Amino acid sequence: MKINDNLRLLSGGNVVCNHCDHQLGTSVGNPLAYAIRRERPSQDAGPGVRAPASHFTDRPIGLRQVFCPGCYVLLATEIAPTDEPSYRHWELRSQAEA
Amino acid sequence: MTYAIGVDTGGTFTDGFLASTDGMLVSAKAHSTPPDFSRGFINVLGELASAIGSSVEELLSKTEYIVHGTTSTLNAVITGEVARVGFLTTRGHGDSIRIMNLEGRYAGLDPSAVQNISRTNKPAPLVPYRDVIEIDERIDHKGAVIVPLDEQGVRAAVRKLYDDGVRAIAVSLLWAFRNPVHERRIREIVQEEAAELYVALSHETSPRIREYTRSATTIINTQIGPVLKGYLAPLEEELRAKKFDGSLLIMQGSGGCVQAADASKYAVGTLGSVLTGGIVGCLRLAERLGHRNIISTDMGGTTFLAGLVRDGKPSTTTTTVLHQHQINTAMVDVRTIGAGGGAIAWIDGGGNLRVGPRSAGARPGPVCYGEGGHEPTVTDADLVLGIINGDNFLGGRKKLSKELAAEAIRTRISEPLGLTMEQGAAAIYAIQNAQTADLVRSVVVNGGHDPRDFVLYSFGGAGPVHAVSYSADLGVSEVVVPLGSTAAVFSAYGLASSDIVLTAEMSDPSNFPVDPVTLNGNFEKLEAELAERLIQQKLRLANVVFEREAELRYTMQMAEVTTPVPGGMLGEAEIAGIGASFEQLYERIYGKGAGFSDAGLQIITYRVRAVGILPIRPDLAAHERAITDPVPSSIRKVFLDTRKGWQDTAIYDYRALGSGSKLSGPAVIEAPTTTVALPEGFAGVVDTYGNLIIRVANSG
Amino acid sequence: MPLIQIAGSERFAYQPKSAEQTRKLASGARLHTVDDGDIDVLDPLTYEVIRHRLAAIAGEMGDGLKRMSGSVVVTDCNDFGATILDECGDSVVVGLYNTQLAASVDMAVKWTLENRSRQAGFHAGDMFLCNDPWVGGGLHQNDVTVFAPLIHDGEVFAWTAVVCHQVDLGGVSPGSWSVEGRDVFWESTPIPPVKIVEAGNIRSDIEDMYLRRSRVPRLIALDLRAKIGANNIAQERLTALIAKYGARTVKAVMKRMMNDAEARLRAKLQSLPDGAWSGVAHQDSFRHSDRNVYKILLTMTKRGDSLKFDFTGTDKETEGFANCTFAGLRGGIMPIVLTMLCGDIPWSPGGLYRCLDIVSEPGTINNCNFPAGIGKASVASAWATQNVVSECVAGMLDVHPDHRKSLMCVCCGTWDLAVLAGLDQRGNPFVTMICDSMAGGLGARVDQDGVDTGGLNCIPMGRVADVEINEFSFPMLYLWRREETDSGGPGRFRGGMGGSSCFIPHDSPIGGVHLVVSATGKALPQATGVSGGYPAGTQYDVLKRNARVAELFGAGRIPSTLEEIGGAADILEAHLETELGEQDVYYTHWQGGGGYGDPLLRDPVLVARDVGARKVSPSAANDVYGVLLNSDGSADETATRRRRTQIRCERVGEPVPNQAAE
Repeated sequence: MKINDNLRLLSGGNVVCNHCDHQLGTSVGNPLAYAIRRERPSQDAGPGVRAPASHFTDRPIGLRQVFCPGCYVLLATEIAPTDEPSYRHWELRSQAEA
Repeated sequence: MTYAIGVDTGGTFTDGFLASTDGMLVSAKAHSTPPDFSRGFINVLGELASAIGSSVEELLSKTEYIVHGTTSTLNAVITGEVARVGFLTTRGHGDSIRIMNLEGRYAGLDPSAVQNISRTNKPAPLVPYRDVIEIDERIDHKGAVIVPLDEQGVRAAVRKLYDDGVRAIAVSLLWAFRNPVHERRIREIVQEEAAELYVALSHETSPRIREYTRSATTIINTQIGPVLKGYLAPLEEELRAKKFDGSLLIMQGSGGCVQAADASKYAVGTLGSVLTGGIVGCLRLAERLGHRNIISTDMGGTTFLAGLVRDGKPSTTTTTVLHQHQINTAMVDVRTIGAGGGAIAWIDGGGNLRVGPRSAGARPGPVCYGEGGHEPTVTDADLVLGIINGDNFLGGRKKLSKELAAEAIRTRISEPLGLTMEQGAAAIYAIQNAQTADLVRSVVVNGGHDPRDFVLYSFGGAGPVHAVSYSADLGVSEVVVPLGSTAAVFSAYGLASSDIVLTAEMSDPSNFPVDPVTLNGNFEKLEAELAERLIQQKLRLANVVFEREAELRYTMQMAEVTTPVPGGMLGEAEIAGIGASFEQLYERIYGKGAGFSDAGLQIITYRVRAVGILPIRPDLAAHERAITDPVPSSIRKVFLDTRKGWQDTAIYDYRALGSGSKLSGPAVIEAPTTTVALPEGFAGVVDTYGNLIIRVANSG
Repeated sequence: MPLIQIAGSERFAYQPKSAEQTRKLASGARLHTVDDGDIDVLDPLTYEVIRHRLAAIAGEMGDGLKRMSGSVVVTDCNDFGATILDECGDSVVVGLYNTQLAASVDMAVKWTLENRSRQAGFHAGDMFLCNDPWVGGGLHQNDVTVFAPLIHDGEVFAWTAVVCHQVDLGGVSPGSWSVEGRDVFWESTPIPPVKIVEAGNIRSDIEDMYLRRSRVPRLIALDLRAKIGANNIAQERLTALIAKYGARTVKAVMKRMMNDAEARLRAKLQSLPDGAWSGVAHQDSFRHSDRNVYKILLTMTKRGDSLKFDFTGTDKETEGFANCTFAGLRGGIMPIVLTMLCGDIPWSPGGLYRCLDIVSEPGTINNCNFPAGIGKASVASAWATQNVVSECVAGMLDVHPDHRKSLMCVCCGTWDLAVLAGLDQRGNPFVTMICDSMAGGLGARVDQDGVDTGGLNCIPMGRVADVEINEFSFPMLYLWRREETDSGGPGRFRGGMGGSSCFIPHDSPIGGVHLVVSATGKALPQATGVSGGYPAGTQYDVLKRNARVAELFGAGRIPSTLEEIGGAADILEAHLETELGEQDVYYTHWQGGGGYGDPLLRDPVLVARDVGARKVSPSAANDVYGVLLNSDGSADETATRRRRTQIRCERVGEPVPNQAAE
């Protein structure tokens, strides 16, 4: 079952990369357990991030990305305060009927 | 003796109608000939000529004028086969035609499509990014020049566009309608640089506040102007070669016609050209029948159109939506409000029966056509209910399969709903009628009127099948089904009997009451401009009438109400009267207590219409009198009313009915162009022109 | 002083009740009802006919309001809502305008049923006015709703309601956006439901009490009449419908519409896999000079045919004006449910709400107690709630082969507010909200880019006023209004571009204008991407003091960049009240939509096209998309392939292979 542009769920519950079939985790627990995580300054996201975050806030703000260890495709992106954990997760508990 | 001719070019047929000064009336039909519609035009003249036993040359040499309803500009916009246009606008505002006030994402879409927001898109911008050039210049809201025009920049822009192959330029600058000095200078520069370029200026094409719509209108005008010119110029040349010495007039969407040369300059005016002939025909018929207020409905296979006539005048609109682009152009307000006989019946995700808005279109059409359609339509329901006759549809020109229709309704509608096949069909028929009543009512009520004050005229192959049923729901006093000798070419008849109509307007927003000098000056300027343009039409006119109107609103409002203005020099008292008329109109539209006089009034737009009455006004042909009482051609079971179910119903052949024939429901009248359903409780009579007039039985 | 819940405010902190509970609590009123038997006997024909008519009536209410109002926000920007509700205050049909507003009207009607049934009572020709977001009916005090019971045979048969944004109802700052506010007492005082129209006549004592607080009372009075007029339209049409089909049948249709919407949403949910999706929405700053970042957490659990929204872990309510009440929280959920889950399902929120459970702790930023400040709730914590709901629902839909087509990445992260106030060019006092940021970028979809300057997903038919309408109405002159390069979130499918406006004060008799700015998303973008897609760009507002515009105008030039404008640049913090002087320039740049998928997977032809149309800069094409262009503007395939390999390696710190041999 395709989960999104980059991920597929196998019948055994393993989540794999849709582009290179590399195993990334399991649908219950942590689907991206084996993925590579990197953190960079938020303005590395490109010219769309106009002014530096430090102009507006005293909190540290960074660009966090998650990559497939097999083909380095980008699996998740967020710009968030780096003094807090990433709150973006998901878990699937059953197959869809369709 | 001289002739007036109307030629109406539709998608399928080109209709012709001829009237002579001594009262002769002739009609003819030819196939339309896309992409070169002029062939069909010439062919229908040939048909008219042979009908009066003369040659085309002889016919044309005696023709004073031809009024033409054309689909060429609308067709060009729909197919995208338009001229490439360069767009010059004020620096900083080139993206306006991409932003489209963001409403371009949903304008003109059905509510069910708007609701599905993640599937909506804007259309491609009217002019691609590379052909938009911003110019340094600025005028403010008062018309003051804030930054002078950068003439060098204009020259460079024109040269670049020209070198890229652009041959038509649209110019729309901020506040140009307030002060056109920069737009005019740009035209001079363009002509200095390359005289053959087609140029349109926004303050001429659409002198109205709101730059996005003004720009869109100017651009579309520039795209289709060369197309219209390319169609009309050779056509006129060919007519001249065939001894035509009269005027070729083009019907405008606004309800009147203008000289062919004028039409090309203001090509957006012809976008509604093909819609207008029918409304003018309606007006002429209404004059004969003494009707002042009419709802005109035209239900064909793929669309349902509705328009209004009030106090003998068609209701008009000043904006329209085409391909999700907003356009300013005065048009007879004919709205597409439904899908016609091809509207598809379906079961939605909640198990509810729905009809439309999707249509089976001309291809594959209803299931009963046997041309590959699988989804049941309104026409399929009409067939299985016995209302239309599969062997005598449109005079027997098309055979319909009742079996296919019944099968589709049974499997796709009736069985899922737990109904019998006939019950499913009856529900489709009734839902179509009720929805039509809703939509027609909203057109009437939103115009501030009460449907009970109107007579409903029903045109189109599918219209009279439903008209009496939904009219009862609307509460109109009478239904007229035009069926006389002109019925088959009704739009062409309307064209041949139309007037010259020219419109001029200006936006000059100010507080109201405005001082008499300003108001009189504005109207005089507009009337002088129109008088000059009327002279340029080079026509013998029976009479000329000027009609003034103004758009007013309460201060702080953003929407205006069009208010009639008396002619002549106006003093303070008459100007106060305009304000009073506005307030009365406002209350009529929005209800008592909705007005807010404390806010004060503003006047925004001044408009004048010049109507030149053409010398030939064809009458309608008399219908032969009935000598006997009408005799049904057959009796069959028909389902016309859910409360009555199947009834033995008299079927009449229209061709056997003379004027004065009286019919009472339940009955079905089969005419060569349509079928009329007359449910129980209604009575019909054939009038002296052959029209069927229907009222509630015993209501006098 | 710290936020301490006001004793006596509990009565207004409304939690919507079921129809049965409301009926019991509204014992002073006679409520018309039908039973299941009446619903069961409806034939498909009558159902469809009446359903169609109810939707047409909601449309007419909106059309009427738009034509009668004097607020550009309403007439030219479509920021209003129109709703028909049943006798218990459950929404049967909402118009295609502001769905945030429409989503909370049910609360105000239910509160009124429960608290006003004996006194002041419900009689024919009565209408109520409310702008208390704890009660409901709106998300902040500027949302003023007017709603009316439809009385049939002495019973409350149904309710009609319209709500729209009013430009100013008092409070410390113009526009009622009190950027320095710390609690609700800095803002417009909320008005709980009061009877504004009695037996068809406006109560002038109540009207005066309402208008007295405003800086623009005449405009507010005009709009009040527009709302009354829109309710009149609906009441007349509904009365005619009852006369024709009978009260029992019309009511049965209303109930079945809600049942139908519920059943269809449940069926759609059932077809999706069970699971949980967690997300976060950030807002930088809650008031002037506040430099903190706040979070709303959501875990959305889908089990069987229902959805649970659990906001546990969300930050505590905070001094400032950016909290929202429970109405705001619901106003953050319903627009996404409507636009992403119910694109093909009728919009009957009364039925749809039955599929949803909400878990939220009172006293948090999106479920605050009185007197927490809520002046900008609608575009602050309510909007942020919408962002996180959007993100979670998108993740859920992405799993389904068909329903994934309905998802959009987060659209325009929030509203970029600019309130102008002062004397207009005709010498009249004015206050207005510039609504250009209505043209936000829509989020990318799984198969195509987001719509550039396409709007906001909470207002399906939003609109921006023409530049000429703003310049005609207010003392301002635009240097530009445009789509902004690189503002759409990069991805395999790009988020829609946001835009910017740049204007100067113009033609006011007192020179400059007063300016209130309020917009988050500056420290970090708020329109997030999906499936690896990048968020849209940040919000960016710049005030240039003592610029050289007059000099440039004199030289025949209109500047197109901030650099050209000259003067001293002040990159504005999120919340600020200031003066825009005669020589100053204001530049406001709002957000686009989030992107979908890895930008390195985007078709290079599309990237080249975007660069050609100024949607993406050459540097972003190179750095983010890994696309290099030929001199004719087309994509250089070989160089692009190499550049993309290089970026992939750099992502994870792997050495870049030697590609010269290829």
